Order: sequence, then C-alpha cells, then structure tokens
Amino acid sequence: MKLLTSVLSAVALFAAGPAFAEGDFITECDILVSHGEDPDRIAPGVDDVLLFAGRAACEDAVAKDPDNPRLRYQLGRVLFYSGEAQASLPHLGFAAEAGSEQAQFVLGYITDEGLQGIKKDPCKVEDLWVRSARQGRFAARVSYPRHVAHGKFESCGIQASPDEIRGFLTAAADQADGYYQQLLVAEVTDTYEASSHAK
Amino acid sequence: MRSKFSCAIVVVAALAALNLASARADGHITACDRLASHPEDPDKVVPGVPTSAVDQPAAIAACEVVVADDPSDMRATYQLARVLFYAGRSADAVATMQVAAEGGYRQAQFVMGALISNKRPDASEDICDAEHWWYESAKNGRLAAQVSYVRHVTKGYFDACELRASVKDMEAFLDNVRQNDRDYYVRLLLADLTEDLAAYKAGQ
Repeated sequence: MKLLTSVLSAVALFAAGPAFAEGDFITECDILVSHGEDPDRIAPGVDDVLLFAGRAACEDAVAKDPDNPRLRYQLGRVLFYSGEAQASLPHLGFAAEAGSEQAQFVLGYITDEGLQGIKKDPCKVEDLWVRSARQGRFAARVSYPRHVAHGKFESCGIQASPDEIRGFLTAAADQADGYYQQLLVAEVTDTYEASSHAK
Repeated sequence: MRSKFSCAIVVVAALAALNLASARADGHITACDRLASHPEDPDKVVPGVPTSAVDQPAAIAACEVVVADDPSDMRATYQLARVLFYAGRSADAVATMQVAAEGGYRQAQFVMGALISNKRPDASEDICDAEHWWYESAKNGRLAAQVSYVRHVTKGYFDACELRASVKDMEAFLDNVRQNDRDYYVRLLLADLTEDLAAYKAGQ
C-alpha cells in the first residue's frame, strides 16, 4: 500500500493538473479519491475508488482539516460509493455551501435521481446546478438547461434567464471534450431553443 | 524518502517495460500507429495521440511508408488521412479517407460522415453520402456513428435520403451504445435520443 502511495505520489507530482492553492498539499485522500472532473482536485482523478482505504484516508484528512471543501467533497464521495448516502450528505452539503462546483453538481445529481433513497427535490437541484453552472462546471452547464427545457424545474423559480442559459450552453460548447460532449451540447441547445422557456 | 522514490522508479520502469513488451508481441505496430493513432479509434493498436500532440511531418512520412508498402492497410490509410487534415491538405485527406472508408475501416466511415455533415472543404456536399457512411460505420459497431445516425434521422437532416436503417436498427444502435458506454454525458444523450426516436416512430 505504501509502495502504491509512493508511486501515485510520484505520478501526481509530474502529472499536469489543477494548480495547488498556496499552503495546500496532496493527502492520501486526494490520491485515492479525487474525481477526474473536479476542477479543485490537486491529484489525478481516480475512477475506481478503493472504498476502505479511501474512506480511512479521507476521514483522517477531514479530521485534520475539517473546513477544507475539497477534502469534505472527497469524503462525501467515498461514503456515497460505500452505500452510506446519509453519512455522505453533510460532507457534500458542506462542500457545496463552501463553493465547490463539483459538490454542487454531484449533490444536485444524486438528489435529482433520488439515489440511495435520497429524497427527490427539484428546487434544491435547480439551486445547486445553477450555482455550479455559474462557476463553470460543464456537467451543470448542460444538465441545467436540459432540465429547464424538459420542464423539470417548472415548480421552482428558475433563477437563470434565457440569455444566461444560452451563455451556459455557449460556454459548454467551448469546454466540450470529445465528440459525445459536443453532440450533447448541440442536442441540449436544440431542445432548449425549442422549449417554452426560450421563447 | 530515497528508498520510496527508488521503489516508485522501479515500479514505473517495470510497468513501462511490460507495456513495451505487449506492443512488440503484436507484431503489427508501426511508427504510423505510434505517431498518428486517434484516441477514439476503436481499432487503434496503441494509445492514441491527441490532435495537439501529433508531429505532422513525422506522422505523414511514417504513414506514407506503411501505406506504400501495404496499400491494403486501412488503419494506416485512415491515420494518414487524419494527419493530412491536420496539415491542411484537405483534398488529399478526403481522398485518402474515402479509400479507408471504402476499405471498411469504421473510424474512417464515421469521419467521412462527419466531414460531410460539417460541410468541410472537399467533402461531398450531398448529406445522403453522410447517411451512407454513418450507416456503414454504425453497422460495423462504431458507437459515435450509431448515435449520430439516430440524431440526424430524428432531426430530419436525412429527410431527403433513402434511409438504410429501419427504426428497429436504430433502436439496436442505441441499445448497443447503452451497453458499451456508461459515461454520464452519453447517458444524457441517449435519454434524449431514445425519446426522439420514440416520437419519430410514433410519427411514421
């Protein structure tokens, strides 16, 4: 395990990725649980999270640095993957309120889907995703307009104007990575422009 | 610290050696593959080279050698076409891509459809040629062609064409993508295309 950590640390040091905040440092929680699309991550993303080791590492990291939104998001991530949604929510919620666009998107996503028995709440999703989209998270910039176009937020006050939603999609088109993401942005743009909200 | 670092170097070197060994065992990997493989080509034999990292003169030279030596090598032909595009040699690229597409290379068939759909210079101006190439590519299992074909049909972009795929074929295309790609964005796209296809089917 120590060897694996050493290798990953070496790789992380040389891998291109988001810049470190001053005074920040890579923890084992970052190495084991970072999400590849989290713009705040400071280590390469991990698709297959080692649940036991990742949870232990993130619990330790959060105990030492409880106000760190990145670490709180990552602890929430590994707890959720471990099937402990209720335990993960306070961490995801803390990170979302602290401004983590990744946590805002993910908390919105699991609330939208009602995963692991989480109560569905479209207006909470609307609020989380509009904040994430405004901060630049690609997933929120396509998911928010798509839900507006499909009428999923009809019972809520939709915070973004049509112009702002078009702005999300224009920005998403520039951010799209690969053919499927480009196609998705085109599809959502068509769907949004045909919707009543756009008119 | 020093021993940990040494361990890390040994492991990384061992992994690199294993990778090299597996590449050599294949026996068909060429400099063209190493310099010009596309990351999303399902038939590539080495990890792909992102567009921005392609060494165009070296890749063109390497692929021209392979194609000259074996004109039936459709992977190399496609890769040559790919790099010719990046080098701005549009007419040569389209002609070469067409050879690879006609040779049955599914990535080339997909790209041919995309070039036509996107109205790229020197590509056919007949959208029904895109229908043809995407159908061939989709039939050969290229996931991007499967979603693109359904999207173009349901949006009416192929209305002027005689469609080669039935609704049942298109449902099978989407099912195949569903089974082979679980990415969040692909799932969103599939959800919308499945709805679009159901509406298209109902309207027939």
